[in-house]
Amino acid sequence: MISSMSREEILGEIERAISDLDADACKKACQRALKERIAPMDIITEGMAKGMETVGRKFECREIFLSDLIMAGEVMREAMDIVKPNVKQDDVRSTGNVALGVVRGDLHDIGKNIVVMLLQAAGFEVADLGIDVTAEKFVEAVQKNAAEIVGISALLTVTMPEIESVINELEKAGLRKGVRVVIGGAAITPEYGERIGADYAAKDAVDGVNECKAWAAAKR
Amino acid sequence: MNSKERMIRTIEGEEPDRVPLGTTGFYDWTSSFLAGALLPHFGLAEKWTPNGPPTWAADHVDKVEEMLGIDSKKIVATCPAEFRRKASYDPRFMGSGWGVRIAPDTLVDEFGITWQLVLPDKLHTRIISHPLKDPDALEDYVFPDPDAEGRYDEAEQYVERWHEEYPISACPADVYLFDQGWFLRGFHENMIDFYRNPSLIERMYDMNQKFFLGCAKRLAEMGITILAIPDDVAGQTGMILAPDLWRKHIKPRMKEVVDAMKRKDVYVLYHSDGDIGPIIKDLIEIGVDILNPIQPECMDPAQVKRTYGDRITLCGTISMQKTLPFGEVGDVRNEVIQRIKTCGQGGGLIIAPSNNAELDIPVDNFLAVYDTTKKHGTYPLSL
Repeated sequence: MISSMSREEILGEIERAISDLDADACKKACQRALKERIAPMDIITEGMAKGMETVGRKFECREIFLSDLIMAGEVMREAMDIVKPNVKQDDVRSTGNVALGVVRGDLHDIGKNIVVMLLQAAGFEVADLGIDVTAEKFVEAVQKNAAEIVGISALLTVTMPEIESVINELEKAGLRKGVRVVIGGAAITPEYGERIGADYAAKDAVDGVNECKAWAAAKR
Repeated sequence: MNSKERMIRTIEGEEPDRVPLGTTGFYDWTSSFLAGALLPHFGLAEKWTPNGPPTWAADHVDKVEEMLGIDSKKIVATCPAEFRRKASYDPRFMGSGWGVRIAPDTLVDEFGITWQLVLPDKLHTRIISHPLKDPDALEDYVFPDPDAEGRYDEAEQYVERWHEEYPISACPADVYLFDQGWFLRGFHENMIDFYRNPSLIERMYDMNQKFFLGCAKRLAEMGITILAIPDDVAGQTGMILAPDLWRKHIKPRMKEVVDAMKRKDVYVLYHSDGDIGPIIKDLIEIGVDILNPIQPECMDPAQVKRTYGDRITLCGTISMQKTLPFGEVGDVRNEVIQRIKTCGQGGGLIIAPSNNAELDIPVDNFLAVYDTTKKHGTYPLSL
């Protein structure tokens, strides 16, 4: 039987290592956690995900920057490689299903890639559709993956109209009511989001992911 | 007062005859806006050709700039004779526009980076192959030679033609260390390099610096007025590269470039998209003279002026993400007037759109930036 103090300390080490961008410390702490028979899903949700939440908060407060966020994601990814093989299928607890991509004609995907990383860290199943994605492909992805959240990204003002096309195609396919549409990109504003019928216009990657988490939690 | 004197006065923190006008963002004209909007508007549509001299050196582009009243000429990237013998020119591609064509929509540039035109308008490009994706490839990688024969042929002629009347702004490559780094390595890989492999960053940056500085010195010898250092280290809401990492790897090298330019009485313009608030003090400290483009959605130009206006010139500032594409002509006029009012006192302001113009900008809105500045930007300001 693991003492609760010892369990908390180990999970705290994982959280801190991610927050400190220390991949070696994180891997060591995960290996120790597995050795001490802490449930793999708990390592992920109570150690790693908490670390990413701390990172997200620091990013929102501008204590850290995008390159730090990317490195945190890398730390988490390497730790996941150690922990995930130990997760039994029955134990998998998905936070929700997301399909996201960058619209047709746009190739800027830094923000989208950060969102994918943070969503996965938060336990979402993510269908990453990539860049230059047509409205039809968004619809296909929602149908194929039973996505509950659709993330649509466009950096350029000249490709923003494609976001509206995706929303229209979701309507035509009878899928709009069943999904939460979260949009993002440099020129996106809440006013624009409201005008075109999106559910939420994220101001940055962390904000978008927080919205997805809040919505998924409320749905449960 | 000619454009050169106008521009130099404003950079020196003096009031010229009127607020000078700059080009769209820093880069060369986007093909889409030039070919699709401006040239037709000025009756020069038949001049558009995907081949020929670089856009920045083309007569019809000079005509457009003259009609707009732009107060500078620019040289955007250079390319040596040997490379041109095997390459073709396509203005839709970034950098010098020269590349070895390996497919109808794909060029490999002088750095070995493969660029492809993107659907649906085929007027934007993306990188589809990074030559240093494998970090071991850096061992054998050779940066272009800044002194390669023929690299400056067009630049020399251009400076000779315009230098008395216009300030000439030049850039050796259309990106500096940070952007060139991830163009070569891949974005994710390069970000991780800063934390995992800083010695690779240092080696790559040393090599790139040798090229960039070598070219900058040659251009300075030729008689340019401004050296532009474009390096997008920030995004909409903040820095992409953590400021401490920028200070460690880029700042000292940029200082070296600035110092070399100061010795030749060349001003230095720094371009980065987005919010570079955390490093503006550093840029001033190392001697950067002009900040571009100051996207108003990311940094408040009036606040930048209040805080730093006695030490740096603001260039750009007119909204490309809201006012120009989505506003009316009246909105553009009001914004330009507001900018002149809040940022133009004592000189130190160059008005321009705050990045590359795209086809979603109505031509009348674009023209309003220039017309309004000419009408309301006369010194002493009476707004």
